[in-house]
Amino acid sequence: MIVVFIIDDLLLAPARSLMFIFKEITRQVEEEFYDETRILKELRLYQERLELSEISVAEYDLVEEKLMSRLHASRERNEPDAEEV
Amino acid sequence: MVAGKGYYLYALFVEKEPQDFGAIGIVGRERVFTLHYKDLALAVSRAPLKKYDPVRKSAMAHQKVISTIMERYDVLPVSFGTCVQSKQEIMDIFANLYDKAQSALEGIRNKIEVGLRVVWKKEFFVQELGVANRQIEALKKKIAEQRGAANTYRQVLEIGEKVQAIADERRRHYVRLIFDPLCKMADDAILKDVTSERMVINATFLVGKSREKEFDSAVNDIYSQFSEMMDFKYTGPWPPYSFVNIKITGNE
Repeated sequence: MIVVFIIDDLLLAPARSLMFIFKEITRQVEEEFYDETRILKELRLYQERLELSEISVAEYDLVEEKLMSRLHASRERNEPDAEEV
Repeated sequence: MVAGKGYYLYALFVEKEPQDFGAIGIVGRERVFTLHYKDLALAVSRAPLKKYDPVRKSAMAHQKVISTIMERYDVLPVSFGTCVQSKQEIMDIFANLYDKAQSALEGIRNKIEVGLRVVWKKEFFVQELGVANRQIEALKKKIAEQRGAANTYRQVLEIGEKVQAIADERRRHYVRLIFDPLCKMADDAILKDVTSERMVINATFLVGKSREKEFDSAVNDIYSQFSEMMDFKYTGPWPPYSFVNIKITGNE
């Protein structure tokens, strides 16, 4: 019985390593996606681009809406009880 | 859940007497008025106690209130979205910051902040980085002939670094021609990091109110020298956000 487990472990090792890598990548991507500082920095960059007329108000509004959704999700995720103090 | 009402904070300045700036608050056009501690005043309005989204319209409303106060006072601006629950918290902020605030206000008395961002026009950006562009063209040809992905990737990185180095060298050249002369007229200046590849200069200046017109005309003179190749975005007057080392938050 023990031999079967060892063989299973050996056979599944590559798949487990891959799963670990995928999970780690997903975790890091999510952390960056929901990083409030990063979201605010991105928003400031777009505000600057608008001020420099590199993008239109309509383009800016679209980006702002998306970034605000991310910000709300980020606040919800990072501090679920702190949206309203 | 409905957020409770608190106080939204705008700016700190020297004033002993209660002031009313009208119904210009960031939320629901609430009245903006002052709360006092010794000879200092803090402009506030009643507002829901919550996290405020830094969207453009709200940021502009916040700035508009501060600009209104600035018409009459030298101010220490409070960061966007700062609110506290009670008057007692505001008194605590006053008590904790009083000495620092006095000294910061002394440093900015009769001074304003102006911002200057200079950006290469598209066509001139290409011309300015001409040497790098020729190298890129040569590399493109080389890559088209090669199949080795690792080598190609390394070469692309190398040429990217070269472009960056050339752009930085050109920026330093224009800093000497544009930023340095303006620096000499200002009480203080900060050269910030550029935020886009075509940005040449991203700077803020602390300027005495008595020299504001002189400074404006110096910017105009420099602009007329470079207007064919660059766009200038000159903004202000702002409260001296960049030159105040005091941060007023709701958690003093």
